[in-house]
Amino acid sequence: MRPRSKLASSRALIAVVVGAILALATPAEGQSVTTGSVTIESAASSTGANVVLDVLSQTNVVLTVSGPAQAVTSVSLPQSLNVGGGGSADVRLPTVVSPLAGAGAMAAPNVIATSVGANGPQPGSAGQNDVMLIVIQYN
Amino acid sequence: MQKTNIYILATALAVTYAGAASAQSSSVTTNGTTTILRPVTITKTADLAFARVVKPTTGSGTVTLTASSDTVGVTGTGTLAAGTASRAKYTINGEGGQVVAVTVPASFDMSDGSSHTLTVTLSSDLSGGTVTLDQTIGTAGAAALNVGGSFPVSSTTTPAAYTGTFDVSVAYQ
Repeated sequence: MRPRSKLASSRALIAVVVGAILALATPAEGQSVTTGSVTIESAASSTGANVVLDVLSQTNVVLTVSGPAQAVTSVSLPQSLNVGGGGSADVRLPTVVSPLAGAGAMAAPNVIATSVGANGPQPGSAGQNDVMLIVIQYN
Repeated sequence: MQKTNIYILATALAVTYAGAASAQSSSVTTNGTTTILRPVTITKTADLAFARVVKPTTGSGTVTLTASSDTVGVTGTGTLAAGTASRAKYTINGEGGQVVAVTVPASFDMSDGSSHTLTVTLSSDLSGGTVTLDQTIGTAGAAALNVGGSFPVSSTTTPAAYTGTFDVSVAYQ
């Protein structure tokens, strides 16, 4: 029997190593990397703003609304404000939303022109107030 | 002459021994078998996107995207979901009729890159963590996999864009 040459021994070693690598890689297995994502946003301010309106001289109030640069899908607000204590002396002030500037691509700050008291100056008692909730929905 | 006789005796003994060994031999037929399977692979067709979530104004809530729907469900005061969301979706391909074990991590973290994290608990639409590929052996098979998740959110959660990754792996069982 001829003694194994150094070259033959090296080849055998390589074969063993390759075989071991193939044996490790053999189990058929697939893998996929998945990305999870979310954007957390703060709710719009729930405290709002206190707007003083002199109904004897002012019939239009322009409200500036700051928000994210997103498309606004709808704006809603009450049809009127009732200024008074709830009795027959209440002054009913209709509200109207004028064209919403930048509604298609809301670039903060956005502007909502709200006409309060569309019927013109109205008599009212000083210091009376009502809450007008404006809801802006965006995607 | 005496030397020649010794050689003859030795040869005769050798032949006799060889003949006895041949009479006691046996053989058996052994079958070699293997089943060649095409590799099992998993392909992602959609990431796990919760889209946009408005956090609660007070207290805490939960944001959930189930494995059976692309609609985000939220709980908590003032919590809202918006935008286009999607559960994670995959297609598993391999040998038809074979059972494939699917490994989905129990949870993973999404980070805003500024040390704030959200831990998402994952859930899949598989029962028992396995799925059987359609078709039969000899034909390519496939199966669908969906993964959803949920995470808590509170009024103190830092508003930001969070992202994270997780691995889903498959192997023949």
